[in-house]
Amino acid sequence: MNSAEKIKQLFAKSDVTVHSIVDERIVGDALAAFDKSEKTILISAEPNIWRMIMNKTMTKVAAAAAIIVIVFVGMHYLGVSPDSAGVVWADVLRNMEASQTVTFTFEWEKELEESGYWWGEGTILVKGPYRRTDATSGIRYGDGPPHEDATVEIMDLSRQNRFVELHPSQKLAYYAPDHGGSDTLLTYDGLKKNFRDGTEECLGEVEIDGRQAICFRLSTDDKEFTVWADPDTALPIRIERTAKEGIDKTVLSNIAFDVELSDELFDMTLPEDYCVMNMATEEFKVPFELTEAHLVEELTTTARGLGGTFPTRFGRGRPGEEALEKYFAETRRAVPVEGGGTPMLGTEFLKRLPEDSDWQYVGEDVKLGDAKKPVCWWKLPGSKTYRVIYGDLSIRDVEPRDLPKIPWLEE
Amino acid sequence: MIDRLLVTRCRQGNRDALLRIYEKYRDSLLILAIALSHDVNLAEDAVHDVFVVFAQNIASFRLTGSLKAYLARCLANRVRDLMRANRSRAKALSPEQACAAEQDLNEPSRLIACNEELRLLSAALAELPYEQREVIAMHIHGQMRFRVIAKSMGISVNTVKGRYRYGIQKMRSILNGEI
Repeated sequence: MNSAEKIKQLFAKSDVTVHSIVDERIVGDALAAFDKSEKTILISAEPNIWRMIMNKTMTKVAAAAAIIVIVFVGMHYLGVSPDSAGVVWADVLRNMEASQTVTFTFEWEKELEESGYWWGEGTILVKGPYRRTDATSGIRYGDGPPHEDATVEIMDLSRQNRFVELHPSQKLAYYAPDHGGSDTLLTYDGLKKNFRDGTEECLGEVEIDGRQAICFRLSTDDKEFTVWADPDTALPIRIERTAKEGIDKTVLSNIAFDVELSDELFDMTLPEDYCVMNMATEEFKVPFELTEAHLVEELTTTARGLGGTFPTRFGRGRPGEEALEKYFAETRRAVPVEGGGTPMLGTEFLKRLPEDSDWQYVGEDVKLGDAKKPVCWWKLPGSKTYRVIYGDLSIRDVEPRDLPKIPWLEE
Repeated sequence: MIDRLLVTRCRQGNRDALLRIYEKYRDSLLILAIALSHDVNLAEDAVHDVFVVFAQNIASFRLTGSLKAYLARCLANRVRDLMRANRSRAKALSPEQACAAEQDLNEPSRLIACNEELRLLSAALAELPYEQREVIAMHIHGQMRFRVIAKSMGISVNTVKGRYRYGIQKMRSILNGEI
């Protein structure tokens, strides 16, 4: 069952028991508001507001003025400058629309909840419906160490946003036949849409990076854009976007239009030696045999991320609310571990164990390196002994009667 | 009774129709609000506010799609506002006051009791950034299409799908083996 199905099931089984006091409060206030609100009045009883307004002389003048404004805006959008001089926003838009390819570098930073900080930089190449992003992004929570990862993402916007995301350092790829992804601004179409929909204001000629440019400011519902355009080509040379709330800033620079881009740059063939996850089905293809070594590796990485102690749960573990809360708290304070290898291979090894392999995880509070305490065990069908991983990561064969005694398992 | 008829009767001043709408969607909206906020008190306030505003504006309300999706969308907006207001308030509180203000879904004296599944779901979703949580909850529980969510949130479909994808990806590791 994939995660979406699991979440769907949880929602379906979710239930609340509501005390009548809650109902009384909500219904009481809603009915009070309902009684004060105006209900539907038959249309025939309503005065014709439109006719009343249009009968006033001043309203007629205002309506005529509004029509003039619409015509003016239409001319402006179509690139007809009323004074026929300088670069107007419509020139920039039209030239952007006409460009077949565009490349630019980007930098962004974003504040996350719970004192997290996320940043990224890289290059984006756009050719028709294809977009390739070569990026390095990093994340840091609180005072913890930053964790960086390099990725290559290629999207085909013409085919329901088919995408491939490669993590070369981990030889890991995510792909989906029809999934979206990434920020609107970084899809060129999204950027142009924001530009079309925003309200612009020309700030005149300014100097930026040692050259003259025409500066425009655009505002959408939740973002502010500043665009510097080349006065000769009427194309953007730098774009900055800031969110109207919180820290969320993106800067696009080194923008070049109509550059030659080879089709190979947008090749979405998945490398054969990569582990590949289909994000639509969550099917995980691994190009080699999964072994207990992968389980050991993931357990080690997880324990290192928790400061040298194995987690309360790993697939399974001590049941109950208290253990669950403890596990969630651990998840919150876990830090990414450098050189942790391809993630999820240990979990995938577990998922592929036969159903009757009696997998059990008992690693709660066990220290990395503790040779006496078990972390987990399983028994393959037909085998007379269990494979037991200990805190020192040794794996021993143990008779069923000699399995370590764990109090909560005995209950 | 179908939603369109209930809404029409409401608009004609029928109090019973408003109660029927409340009874029909109360639990679903509370579950959604708890899943989004991981806070029962806030969820109750959000559902309260959504129904009060719905009742207040019933005269001008026109049902153009699903009533459930409309209420879910209003609720998600209200939860977001209340959470933002709570965060600002928490910043002004001392650490002790802030701790005391945190809600515990297991507290037995609570007026709204959540079952095990909802507690698990809410705790797991709380691990995600709000934007991802919102998209997952509205898509899966609110049964809203990505396109509708995108329109209601004023963002692109790609962004919605991206948030959903990254959220599901994280939920995969959080929920692994828990159910």
